[in-house]
Amino acid sequence: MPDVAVLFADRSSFTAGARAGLSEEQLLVRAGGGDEAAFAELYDRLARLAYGVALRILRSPQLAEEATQEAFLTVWREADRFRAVRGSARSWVLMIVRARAIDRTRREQRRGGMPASLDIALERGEAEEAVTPDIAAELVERERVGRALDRLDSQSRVLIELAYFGGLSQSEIADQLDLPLGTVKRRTFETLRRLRGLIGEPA
Amino acid sequence: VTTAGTHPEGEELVAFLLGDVTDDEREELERHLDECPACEAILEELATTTGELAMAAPPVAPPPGLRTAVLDGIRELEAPVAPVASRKRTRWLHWPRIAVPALAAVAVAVAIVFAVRASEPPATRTVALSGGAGSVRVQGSSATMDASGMAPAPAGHTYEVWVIRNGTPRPAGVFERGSGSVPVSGEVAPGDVIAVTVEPAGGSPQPTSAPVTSARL
Repeated sequence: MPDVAVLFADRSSFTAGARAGLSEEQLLVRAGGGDEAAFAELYDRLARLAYGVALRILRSPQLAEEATQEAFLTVWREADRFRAVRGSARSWVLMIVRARAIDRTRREQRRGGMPASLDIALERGEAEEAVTPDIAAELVERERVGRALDRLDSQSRVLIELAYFGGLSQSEIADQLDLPLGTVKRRTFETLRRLRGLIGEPA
Repeated sequence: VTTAGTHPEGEELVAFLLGDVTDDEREELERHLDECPACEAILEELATTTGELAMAAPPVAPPPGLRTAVLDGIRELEAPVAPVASRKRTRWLHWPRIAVPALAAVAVAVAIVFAVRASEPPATRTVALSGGAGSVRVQGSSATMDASGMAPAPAGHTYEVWVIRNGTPRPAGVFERGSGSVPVSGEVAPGDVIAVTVEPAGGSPQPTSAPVTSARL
């Protein structure tokens, strides 16, 4: 009978010390070339953000865990398609997390396990963690995004949150808010452009 | 958007970014974006903003087991593969529940492999289905299922049996009522996972919902 631990003995290849100095983009490109340690380091840097997004969308720890796992497997599988020119590694990964979480929402809705409704959490939740320098930088970034969202009028804000975190299609949003589809589409686009300016403004 | 000369509206780019497009629309847009740096630049800008929107969600530490599950998961897949092949297999990613407890299951599977090898010729053995749904009887490379613990399939639906090997599910028969003996078509081997999903009447070529019960052989 072999020692089962032997199967996992080469886990040491996941120790990511040598990759600590790399940017998230460099890690993602290396992961695309099959570098497991780079992928593990990327996971360690982005897992909290990813799980936070999934949890926000799915509101269930179990579903969020599954969606986050699916998302990181997709990241690994598709990493060689990442193009740094199309945005940061972080945005790319979080877009995949969002897509997986929304797939999940839709499946749960079809199975009747989760109501499709407007009751998404609009409040900004609080992270319950000790503040390290990394987390502090994140909080500053989050504060900036939160402030930008606060400066939108309420309808634009609801539109953008529904589109991004609510997992509703634009026609579903139009139905729920009783707005013409064309209006929803145009407002969503305009709001995104406006947010870009607001997020970029100094505090 | 059929030619590189026709630029998509900003609204279409947003829909593309949010995944709110059909497969055909997405392919058309991707073709256009490959040839049109101007539209790609607009898309990038929108993508940066949506990426930052994600930061509005508070970061939360995931359950500690997730790291292991993810890192084991990538080893079950091969190294990153060509886009065409990856698209084919994407379905599986939508259906990961069984992969999660893989760590524990591997230990069990290893034990079973050795138990089976040690006790040749293979005797009949019985493995319980999760959730008290019933059991799977395995003799050599064939299996039958007793799913008498399961309610009849919902109206207009059918139960479908899957044999999952190396992360790929293969259809292995459909049934409406689990009582009696349900054959699992095709060969099974130690380490395979037998899973049952609810599918539209007649069954599906790929699972479309999460398994209602499963067992690792």
